[in-house]
Amino acid sequence: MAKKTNLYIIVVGCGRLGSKIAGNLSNKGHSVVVVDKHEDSFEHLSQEFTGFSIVGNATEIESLKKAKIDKADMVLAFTNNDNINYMVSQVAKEVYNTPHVVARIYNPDNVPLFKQINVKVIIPMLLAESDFQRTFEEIIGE
Amino acid sequence: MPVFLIVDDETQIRNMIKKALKEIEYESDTVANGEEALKALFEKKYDGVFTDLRMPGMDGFHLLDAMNEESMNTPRVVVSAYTDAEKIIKCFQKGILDFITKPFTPDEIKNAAKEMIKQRIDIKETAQYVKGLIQQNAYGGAEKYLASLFSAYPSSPIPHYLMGLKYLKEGSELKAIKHLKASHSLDEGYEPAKKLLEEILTEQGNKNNTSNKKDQENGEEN
Repeated sequence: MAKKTNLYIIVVGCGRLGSKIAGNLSNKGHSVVVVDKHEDSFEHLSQEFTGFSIVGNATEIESLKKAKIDKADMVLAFTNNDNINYMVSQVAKEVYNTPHVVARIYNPDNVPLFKQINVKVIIPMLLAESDFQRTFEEIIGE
Repeated sequence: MPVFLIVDDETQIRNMIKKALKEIEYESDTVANGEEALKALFEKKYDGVFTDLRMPGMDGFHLLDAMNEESMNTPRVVVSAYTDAEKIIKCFQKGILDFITKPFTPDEIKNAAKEMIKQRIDIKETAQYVKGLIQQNAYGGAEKYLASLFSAYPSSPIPHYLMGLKYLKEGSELKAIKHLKASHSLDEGYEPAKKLLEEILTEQGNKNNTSNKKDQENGEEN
């Protein structure tokens, strides 16, 4: 089967990370819908962003339905709250069988919980840690 | 290659629909409101129209009305942020094929475009079918398809030819001649209309000659 070039992606949470990723994905030609409960958050989106934005609480299934989660190829749970990200991931994965779900996790202790429902995770703290490790080795190596 | 008209005041929406259509190798033209859409529809034949509802100037509701008033049979699909049943029903009453709510997925656009293509009336296939209906004296059914053909192909000689065929079968020779002449004037090279018209006129001529002869004979006898 031919690889889909234009994915329908829902980004939940339009903070610094969510807005940046949404902008990158829409620049790459994907159809992106951003959901955030604060309308002001959409100001983070770059001017080149060509997707949709929906004001809504992601903990309410209606907001996800409005974003057409049932048709999404990918859901990114990028709010600043692990519980909300878990809930969104669970709904996407278990209710709507979304093929790809990625969540951001603040507390590394929560990783097994997300892995249990087969969700890919991004852990800023661990990324920072490995980044620091690399930088540290570079400094020491000098 | 199928060509669609995209009507939306937001550039990014127009581009998103255009991009989805391009993925299945369908072309598209874009305009920003109802007035521009009507102008484009008068100038070019499209396989379908994707229209928004809320637009400055002529909105989508008025565009749908205008298309109906002009008897345009181009299939149309609404792409709108409206989700209330009342507005959706109103659009279906105005003859739309589908209603896609925003945000939309590329697949929704692609599927709607494919459905619109299916709605196209194939003139040759339909003409053959209508001919069959006329031969079976199913005039009601034939008229229904003829109306669609006239509306979809106003400059084709075929609908007039079929109309002539129908009137001839019904016994209205004068009306048949009128339509066959119209068909012939639209395309002088369209043989079926030309042939049938000649047959009718020859037959009429023969009848006239026979009756003139009879009149003459009667006159001589008297």
